[in-house]
Amino acid sequence: MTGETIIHALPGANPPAPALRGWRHYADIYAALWRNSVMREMGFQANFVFWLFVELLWFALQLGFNSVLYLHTDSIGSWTKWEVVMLIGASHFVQQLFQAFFLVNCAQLAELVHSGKMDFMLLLPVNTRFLISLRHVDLGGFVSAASGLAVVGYAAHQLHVVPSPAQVLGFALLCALAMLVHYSLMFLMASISFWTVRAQGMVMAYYNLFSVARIPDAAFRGAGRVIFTLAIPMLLVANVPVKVLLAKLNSPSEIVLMLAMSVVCFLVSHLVWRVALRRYASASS
Amino acid sequence: MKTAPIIQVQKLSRAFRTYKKQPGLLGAVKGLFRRDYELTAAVDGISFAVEEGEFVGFLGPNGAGKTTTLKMLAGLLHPSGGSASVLGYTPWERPVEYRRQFALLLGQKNQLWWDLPARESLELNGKIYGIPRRDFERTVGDLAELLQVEDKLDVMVRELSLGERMKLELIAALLHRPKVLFLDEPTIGLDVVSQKVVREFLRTYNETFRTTILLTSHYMSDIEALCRRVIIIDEGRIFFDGALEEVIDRFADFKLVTVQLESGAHLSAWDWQQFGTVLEESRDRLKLKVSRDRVIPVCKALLERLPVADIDIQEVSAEEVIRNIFARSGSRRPRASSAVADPALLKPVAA
Amino acid sequence: MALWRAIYADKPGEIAGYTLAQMLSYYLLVTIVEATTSVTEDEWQIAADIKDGHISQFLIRPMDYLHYRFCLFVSGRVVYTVAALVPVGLLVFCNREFLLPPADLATFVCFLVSLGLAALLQFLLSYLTAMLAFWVLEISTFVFILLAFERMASGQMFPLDLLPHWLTQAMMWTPFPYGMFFPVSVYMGKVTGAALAQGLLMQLLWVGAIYALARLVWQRGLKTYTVVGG
Repeated sequence: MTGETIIHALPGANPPAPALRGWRHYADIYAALWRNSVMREMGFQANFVFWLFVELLWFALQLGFNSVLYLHTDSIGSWTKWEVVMLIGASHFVQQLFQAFFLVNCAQLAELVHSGKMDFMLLLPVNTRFLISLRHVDLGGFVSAASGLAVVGYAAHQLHVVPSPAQVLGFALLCALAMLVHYSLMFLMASISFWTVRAQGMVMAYYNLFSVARIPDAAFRGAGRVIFTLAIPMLLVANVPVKVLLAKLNSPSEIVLMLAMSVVCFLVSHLVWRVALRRYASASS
Repeated sequence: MKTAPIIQVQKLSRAFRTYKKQPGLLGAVKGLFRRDYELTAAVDGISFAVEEGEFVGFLGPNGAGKTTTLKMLAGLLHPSGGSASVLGYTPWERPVEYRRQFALLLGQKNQLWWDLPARESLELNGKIYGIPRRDFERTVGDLAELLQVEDKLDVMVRELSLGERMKLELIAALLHRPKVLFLDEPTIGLDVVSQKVVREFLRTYNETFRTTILLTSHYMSDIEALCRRVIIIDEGRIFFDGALEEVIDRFADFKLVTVQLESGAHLSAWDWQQFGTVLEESRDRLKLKVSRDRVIPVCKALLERLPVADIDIQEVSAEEVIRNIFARSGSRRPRASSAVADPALLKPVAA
Repeated sequence: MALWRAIYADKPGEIAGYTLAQMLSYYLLVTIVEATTSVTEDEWQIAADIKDGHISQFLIRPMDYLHYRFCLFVSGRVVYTVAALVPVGLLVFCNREFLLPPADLATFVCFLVSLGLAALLQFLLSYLTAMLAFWVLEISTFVFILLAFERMASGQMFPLDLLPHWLTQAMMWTPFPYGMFFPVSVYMGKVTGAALAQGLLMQLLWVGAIYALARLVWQRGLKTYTVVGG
């Protein structure tokens, strides 16, 4: 068969456009992205296991540190040992889920810009932020997140706490909000690093900054507390969900505050992203 | 009836702000506080229009502004002045509808996922462009057959050769049947056979679908084989816009004169440089590059002096003409000169 | 640090022999030691050098790769220390009432000596880790595992004597405390006399041992390298 005849056999130009902005369409794309990520992970099984081990090791380290602290004290503020264990578990859970969905993607943003792959992202007829934020899925994160959840459960058992379904639901919803905060902050950093820092340094900065989340809020007073609540709301992301689970909330306003802060974080990150994009179009070569 | 041009570019400009690095540590520290910026025009007020189905070649030395122009038309860059419309859209507003109707292929970069078979990347693009399953299968199958890469679809992309990868990149770019195709150096670094396959493919594709294609290439043979029309850009300005043959008529200042001596005769030692540049000088053959206005007198003189069996007068190749154009502009601007050095002038003269 | 303030707020007095001021100066000192001695990117660079074949040029040049890396490490530390001067200085300044001065000049000199040895130790440890690149493609997991152990066992997270006594003793047999906990303890006058001499000796022994090991692994690695590289 010659070239011409094959080409004539091709389906007609421009297939009819489906509802491109529809949820179905995005769900379809996301399913394909999942498929690709799973296939990639299959190619690096040893790596997968190693990373899981690293994550668990670090998690154990946090718990170990906590045990050491409580060798010497009975409470930090109003927090007892197992309550803090639950806090560490919850913060690990949220962070690992965030890692599973978003972290690699955010960390890779600088490299996308560097290598010019960003151009291809911009060409595709879907929301660019969607594509960039959700390209890869880190499956190890889910396993690791499960370990965090297990620790939360074990701590609840030690505390003889049986949360009501409403509390569990509240915990889940607040964890989702916490992920939104993590994601927004990381994406914000990534957008800024569009034209400055390298990826490696950014992930390190992220780990250092977000380690605040595992500390009971009672440990912070004064300026520190204000900064980590209202500027970088790390003191909310794990503390508030755990307090709901433990019925430890000072007032419902903490939930409202967390909701408000997650929305604010998201909006700010979106604003910076827009500026970064505009700058990309006017400064790159 | 003549329809409106599919691409219309008017006084499009693009300036880059580059900052001069001061030498040394002190300079670097100074640079933290105050930077001296320099405005360089990458594209400097170009205008042209392209009709539907045209296959236009962009020529120019490195840094002439070809890629920048393509990127602006693809909506990746904001122009600093002028306007452009492609398919009725303003590219840099990046409307989704526009993005569905064109494709950009960058020969030096790749969009396929590195550690997956190409098929998976294609699937993903299929989902993104919302291409129905059946159309997708058929398009991929047919394009792969045309480009002779059917057996490469399931190979990990990082294990493919450059040529195979570029062919698959092409499939990825054509999956959604773009009406306008921007190709930036699609054959760069490819082996000769792949170059030929890609070239053949593009020609057939353009002829069959009347897809409008803008192509930049380093290889004159790409342009000669594919583009009836060329736009020559230099220093961000349009230097020439028209048919390829016209380039030779207008800019070829030289012709090639070759004389073959009668058998047994020897070329006498003489300073042939007086007639023009000696390209070849052997026992019984002489090839000269002679400026146009001297061709007749030089031929006369050669016939008088030598026992000539055959004389041949040729136009120089389009490639050389264009190279010369750039060499001339290169002398004004040292940046581009390395890319356009004329090898014909450097060739050692055979004794 | 905020955590400790909260703990001491509930429980004034000493914890494992540390007053609040001592505890805070411990962390300030850790920050200072970290800024001056810890490795930042060297292991990644060494691994990249091995993977990309850049070490080949050192095989034909009269310059030893380990020495070359060490020079880079030292100059890198100098630059980093200067860069960290402002933020660390600010942190120390804000908490200046807690940073206790060393007991006497001799203590300070010993601190400087052990600081130098700590830097050597940290460098050699990451050099050794990076050598793994001869055998595995991706060393990052190993680097993070080492980092985790270092965090815990070097005393970066908390003073090691907070641990149960037997565990502290066990830790002191590993190389990790000598990269961080030991120099800080010297500064704070927690180790003196015979213990000080013994500690410095251990530090020296570890430096020597890891140096020898790094040399050995390098030789082994080169063998596989040249075999693979043809």
